[in-house]
Amino acid sequence: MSAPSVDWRNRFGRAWITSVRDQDGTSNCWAFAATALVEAMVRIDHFLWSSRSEGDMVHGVGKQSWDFGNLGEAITFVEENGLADPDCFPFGVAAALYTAQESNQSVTFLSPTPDRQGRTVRLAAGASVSLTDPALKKQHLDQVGPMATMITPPVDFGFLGSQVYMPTTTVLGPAHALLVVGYDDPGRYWIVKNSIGTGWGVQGFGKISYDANLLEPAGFAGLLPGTTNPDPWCRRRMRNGALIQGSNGAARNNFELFVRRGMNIEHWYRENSTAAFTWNLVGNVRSADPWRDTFHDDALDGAAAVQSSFNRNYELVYRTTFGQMRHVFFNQTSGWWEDGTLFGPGNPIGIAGFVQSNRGAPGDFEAVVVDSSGIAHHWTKHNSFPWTMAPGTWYDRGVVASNVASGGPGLVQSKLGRTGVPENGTGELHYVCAQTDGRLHHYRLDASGWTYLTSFGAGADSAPCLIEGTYGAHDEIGVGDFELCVAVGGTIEHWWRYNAGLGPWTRSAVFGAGVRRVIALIQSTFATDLEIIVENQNGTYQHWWRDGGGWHPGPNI
Amino acid sequence: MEDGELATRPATIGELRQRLRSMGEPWTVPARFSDDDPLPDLPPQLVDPGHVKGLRAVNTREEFEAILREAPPVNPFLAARWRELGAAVPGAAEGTPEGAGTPAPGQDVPEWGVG
Repeated sequence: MSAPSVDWRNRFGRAWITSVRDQDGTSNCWAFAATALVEAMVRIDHFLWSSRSEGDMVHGVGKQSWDFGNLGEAITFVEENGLADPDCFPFGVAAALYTAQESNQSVTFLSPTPDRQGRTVRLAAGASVSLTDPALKKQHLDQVGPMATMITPPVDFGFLGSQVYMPTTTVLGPAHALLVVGYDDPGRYWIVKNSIGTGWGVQGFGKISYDANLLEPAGFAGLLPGTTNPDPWCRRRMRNGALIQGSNGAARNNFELFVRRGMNIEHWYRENSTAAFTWNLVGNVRSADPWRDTFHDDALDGAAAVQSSFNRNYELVYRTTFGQMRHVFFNQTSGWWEDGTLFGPGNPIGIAGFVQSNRGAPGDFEAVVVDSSGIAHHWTKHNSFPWTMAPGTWYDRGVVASNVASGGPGLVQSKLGRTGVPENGTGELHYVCAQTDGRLHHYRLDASGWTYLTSFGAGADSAPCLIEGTYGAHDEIGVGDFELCVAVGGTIEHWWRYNAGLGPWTRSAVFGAGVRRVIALIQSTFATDLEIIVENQNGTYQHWWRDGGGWHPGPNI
Repeated sequence: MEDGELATRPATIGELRQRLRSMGEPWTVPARFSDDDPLPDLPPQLVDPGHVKGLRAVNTREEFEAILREAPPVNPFLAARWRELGAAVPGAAEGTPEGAGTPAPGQDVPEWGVG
């Protein structure tokens, strides 16, 4: 028995539907409905806001802005090729070629960026179903999620304001695709998301009476639970440090962890599709190719990890016996770890702040490395044309801060400072570090350079870990809060800042004992729980997580 | 509404509003449209009967539920909904659906609480 009413705009106390778009007079409603479906199911499967590109779908299918299409070919395209984000290929190009782009060409938006393979939401084969029985459609809406459909509404449909649509004429307009986000049996209407801007219906959503008999005979297209596989690019702000939530495992959400043991970095994973949540050792980070066995037994400290848009490769940086930071990466195609290069200032200390930023496409790698004199240096590896440096070169971009006590995973590519979607390389870098005065100092990189913003806390004797999560954001556009965990006197402090209102830093919890430092923080697909990995004073690593009941200690790893 | 009027299209927004009034105003036209605005003359087009072509067509409840059994939800709220309906949901959920995402008092601004 299906629920009497379902509305995914606000269900289980949360929002699940991405922002309303405008197809801007094109004939691409089918791509907007299918894209909205993928975005909604990523949100439902993974508690993740993901912005996908209707342009990638339209041109990937081989069509133009004036071309009609259908939901079957749209979803089949995503099953076979994934669906990229708007910065990879935006909507709005009237007549675009869609071809592989040479990596030495500038981004023209005539083709997707060279790293498309690593920044698409993928669908499992056979992810989709089509339903025509209204009872089954409601069952799907209740038990799975929204569905896309195509109808031929009367000509007055485009003028719906508030209340429930009933036709005033039988004269039909053009076929039109919509995302069905719910229904209400007592009120006898369906709830749909349109793609002609927020001026239609109520903020772009409308109610269609059962008595209009528009949706009842139409085929609905849906995606089955757990079939979306989001890319690391859309997760990148929600994690930092040694822990990644990737897409391995049956639920496509395993944890991947990189910790130092002796002089090596070990790769561990947690299988998240089984209730046992077992941690398993993969092995040392070391090349399996004897001709490339250039790095091992050289780790002086823990690693900072990124899953990059380079084919979802794992990228690590760690302090090495060679007197600098080392960058290594796991090539998902070959299955080998490979050596990036040594980089950064001499005599580094601690763990680097390390992210893939918005600059360029593929985005640059950015690192903040603290040296033994307490200077935090900003280094960049430029990853895309135009090559202001030789490809693959890390280069010094100046000083972030001084009097820094230790390096840590405190660097974030924020949504703050963006000019819109696509982000087009805009947005600020933020860095928080513990300085020698025991306070946490917050810095921002904008167009004018690195600037000090504020300081907070006291007694911090280790480096913090910082993310920009999703609390405070109600859709994929909104800026989420900063979340920060830091060890202070052996305990863990959790701090947060309300970014939408640029609020102050607030401490929300103190927990744990015997903790040396926090080496990872993520907001996970487990209902947006926060998860941290700490290094204890006795040398063990431990997992902690927070749900609505507070912080809970997990096992030692 | 007059007999036969339904088979014609309103020529203007004002005429559309008049029809809605005669129907008891089941819905409204946004105020940004003036009564003199014409309804666009769009060519009628039938729904492509193949608009879900290529997708797995499911026609019976038995078939649909068999498919769902092979694809249980990973979302803990949906898993709780399935259990409410009596369906077995294998897999893991860290934390409880009831509590998950509800920050403790004085903690984070919940994501659904900000407009």
